[in-house]
Amino acid sequence: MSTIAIPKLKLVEILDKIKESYLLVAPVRNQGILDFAVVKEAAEIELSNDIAYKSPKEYLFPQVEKILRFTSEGGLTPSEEVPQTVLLGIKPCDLEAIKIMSAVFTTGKYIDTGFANRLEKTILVGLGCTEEKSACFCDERTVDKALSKDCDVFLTDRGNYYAAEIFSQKGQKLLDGFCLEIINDGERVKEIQQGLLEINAEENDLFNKIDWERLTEKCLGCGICTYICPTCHCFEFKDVVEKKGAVTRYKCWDSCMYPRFTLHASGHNPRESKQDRYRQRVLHKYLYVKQNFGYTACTGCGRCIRSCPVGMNIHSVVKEINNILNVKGEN
Amino acid sequence: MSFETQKNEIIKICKKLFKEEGTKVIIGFAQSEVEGITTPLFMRTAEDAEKLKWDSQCTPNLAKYLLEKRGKVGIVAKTCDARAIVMYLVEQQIKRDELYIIGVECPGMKNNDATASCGCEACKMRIPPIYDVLVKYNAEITLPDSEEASNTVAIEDNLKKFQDEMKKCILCYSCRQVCYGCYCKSCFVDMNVPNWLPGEISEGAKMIFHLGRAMHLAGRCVECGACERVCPSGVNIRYLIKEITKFTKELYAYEAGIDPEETPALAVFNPNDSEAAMSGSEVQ
Repeated sequence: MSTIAIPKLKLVEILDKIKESYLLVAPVRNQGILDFAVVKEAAEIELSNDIAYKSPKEYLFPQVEKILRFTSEGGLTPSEEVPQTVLLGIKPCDLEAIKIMSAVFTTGKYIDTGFANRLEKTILVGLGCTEEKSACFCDERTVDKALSKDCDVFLTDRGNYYAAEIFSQKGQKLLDGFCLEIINDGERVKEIQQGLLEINAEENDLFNKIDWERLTEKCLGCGICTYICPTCHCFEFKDVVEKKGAVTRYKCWDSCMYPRFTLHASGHNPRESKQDRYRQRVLHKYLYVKQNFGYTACTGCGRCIRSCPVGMNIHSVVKEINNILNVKGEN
Repeated sequence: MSFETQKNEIIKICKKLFKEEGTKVIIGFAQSEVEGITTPLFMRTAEDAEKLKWDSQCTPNLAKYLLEKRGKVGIVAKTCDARAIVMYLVEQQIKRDELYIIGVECPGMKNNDATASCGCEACKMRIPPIYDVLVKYNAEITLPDSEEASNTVAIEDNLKKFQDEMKKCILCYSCRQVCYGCYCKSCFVDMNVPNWLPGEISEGAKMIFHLGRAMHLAGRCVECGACERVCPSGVNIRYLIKEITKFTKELYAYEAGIDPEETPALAVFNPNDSEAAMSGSEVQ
């Protein structure tokens, strides 16, 4: 579709206008920490090369979602309405993650209606990176830091204006009526580097030939990697019984790093130790999602590496696994 | 320069431990693959000791790993690591005779922007309270001159300050997981019979968690700062615990992680103790 120019001087005005019809979510800096937040004033939005500390996944897949409520008298109330939302300033790594999560939640036999509903009502506005932050490794994944087409509009910083590439009707509708100039920004192609970081091995070998205990020795199981990861999507259900015979069912984020993860009612846990749980995290990302949906569920955003209190590094772990198994990444 | 001489001395000690004492593993610090990030190092051979790092970025608290290790274990301990070790000894979680502590005089850790690291900004304790061998810094250390500002919140502003901090919390529990003192096999907030927390992430739920955790840490926090360093939303978690630490110190004259022979304040009953904690009156 077309590309239009949004002058930086007009950006705040346009976003304030958009905010009148949509819930606007964008990166905002609060006490030094850049994070996605519901925008109060468009002027507080920070569109920069810096990457938000947490991924924007919570706006499509909330940390806690009220799914339904039922009472002893019968009756079932489904979850509440979702507002029309504009999710602005999503980096290509996070857009890739949304694509992967959509594959999990909205394709195949089981559709997550909450996620599908939010995704449908959300306009995704991407933003390219000009340089990588320390620990970023999107260039070793299938992500081009400067361009993604897995969104409705994609912004590229062109000095005094943003080149906004429109990829969908939703994106077109968002920018209609602002009398913006259509420009020719040249034909852009997503560039993917060679030498992807992948695991190409059998699960059996990964279970038996890798010393997971040594590999995960320093992990404290704090789980912060799973909370800020753009693709971590494990969840559990929680039924909360109210006094008057009513029950509310919540869908909550789960973390494979916590001892309670996959703990059975019997007391048995198939992933009892932290090495079992860390192995699950790495293999879920690099093997299981690939087997089921064709994607490796790591986009190289580097968040888990930057925020780990003890310097665990998934990039090095995957490399070490490949070294041990003597399997080279796809070239 | 002094970090460097300390580092060389620690390496020498480690090599000696492997050779003469039959130590299985020594826990220390190493540079991670990413600049500016320090990672724990588990040394098993004299060769591994060459990877040791000791500089102003060695912020992680290494003590928690001791809970997983059995047999002869060595540990490089700066002051807060050593204080946590004292608490583990007092709480009978580890055995002293299996442990070799390489105490390191700590001039205070720094963030990447050269400001004092979380936990170091008001710490005046340079020499670890427990060690088998002490590695001195051998250069002048500037101590922080005063109590930090967050300790001076007026009592009437306390609730507001607490509520403001709680607004930022996302209840990921990472602070609990990294805390040396949080080693309960099952945490009260994870229980579902009874359910301590409501289903939704409400301000009330956050308050229950943080107040509960703070009370569990009363007289036990060694102020290593791990909780705040890991927090994804920059919650000033220690603000609350510091108040309780101060309270315990003033009321029971007890400070966590100093004396391995002393019973912790909340683990002992003394008829002469002040009633202030029970009656809720102000500490004089």
